[in-house]
Amino acid sequence: MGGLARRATFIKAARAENANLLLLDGGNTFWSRVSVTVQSQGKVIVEAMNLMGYDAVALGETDLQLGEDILRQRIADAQFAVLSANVIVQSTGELFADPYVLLEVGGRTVGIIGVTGSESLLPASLGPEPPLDRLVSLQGDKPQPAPAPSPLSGPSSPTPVQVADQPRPAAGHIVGSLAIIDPAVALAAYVKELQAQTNVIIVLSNLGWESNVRLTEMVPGVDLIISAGAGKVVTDPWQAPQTGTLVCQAGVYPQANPGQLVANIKMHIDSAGLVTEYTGGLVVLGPQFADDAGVRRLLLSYLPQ
Amino acid sequence: MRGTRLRAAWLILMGIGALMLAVAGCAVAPQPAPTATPAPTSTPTPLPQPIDLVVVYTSDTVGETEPCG
Repeated sequence: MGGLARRATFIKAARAENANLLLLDGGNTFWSRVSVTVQSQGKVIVEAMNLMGYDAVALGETDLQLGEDILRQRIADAQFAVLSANVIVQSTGELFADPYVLLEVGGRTVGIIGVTGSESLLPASLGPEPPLDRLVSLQGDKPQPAPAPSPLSGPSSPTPVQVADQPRPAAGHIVGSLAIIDPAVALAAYVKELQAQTNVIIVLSNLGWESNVRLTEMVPGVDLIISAGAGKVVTDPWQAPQTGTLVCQAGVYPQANPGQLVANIKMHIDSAGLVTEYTGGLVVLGPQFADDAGVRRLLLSYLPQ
Repeated sequence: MRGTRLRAAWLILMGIGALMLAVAGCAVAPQPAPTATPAPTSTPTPLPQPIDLVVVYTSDTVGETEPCG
């Protein structure tokens, strides 16, 4: 045992040091090929995240493979918000999950929006070119620079894009009875809605690093995007020069367990909701982190006796 | 006879005059001074305090429970 139990230990320590802490997940969390997770249909993960005190999680595209009915059960089990602004039930056209949640932290209201999808939902021809120098691959435990950037076809200079002007499919992906609709259009609508209620907005998006960087200029008004989806490890947060939106991603090292990394970002947010300072980084959950007893007990309860 | 008519006309005129004076008097009767209502003071919404916010996050863990690294 270790991944989830070590993570719980790290989170407890982080909470002890920081009064104003949000615990979030970018998505692709519940569906799995790990036997204990498969057998419990993701319930073991939800219960462990309840114990750790997660605040909000985005639905990922892989999570939709659990199917509508099981996902509804997992959402009911969760003591945290499970969010998606762009997954709809095909038969009704209604949103499958809550698009956003408002949380109070340190006297400030923080709006958190979930976005579901993959790189293919946001054409590479839109938005600015992603910064590739922050991507790393694993050679040992320490993050190292990527040997070569992946090919991109995006424009070389950032160009603001009017989301509404772009032709968009009504539904990008269909997974069972659910469909993923245009992420940028949905996000723009909910950012506008949230701006009437708060000036601190965080997006949990599993569109992948490149697409999430493009989102920073397609949909301004966001303080932070927690990026997920492509699995690439990103060492430091990146800030969009034109909008100031920060993008960070924990990712997964190749040939490593997906639960190996946890990341954090500390932001100073002024009265107007602008991030004026930030620091961030990744933590490898190695053996220096002891198992949390409560999460370990939970995991053991799911193992065959 | 003529004197009687004259007196009646005079009385009518005086009545009309008195009535007009009464009406005019009502119109200019002193009104109670309006109660001074304080102008609504606009209380500016206080700006939210700056905050140091820490976000701890994970992603793409695809149901992993096991040890790592």
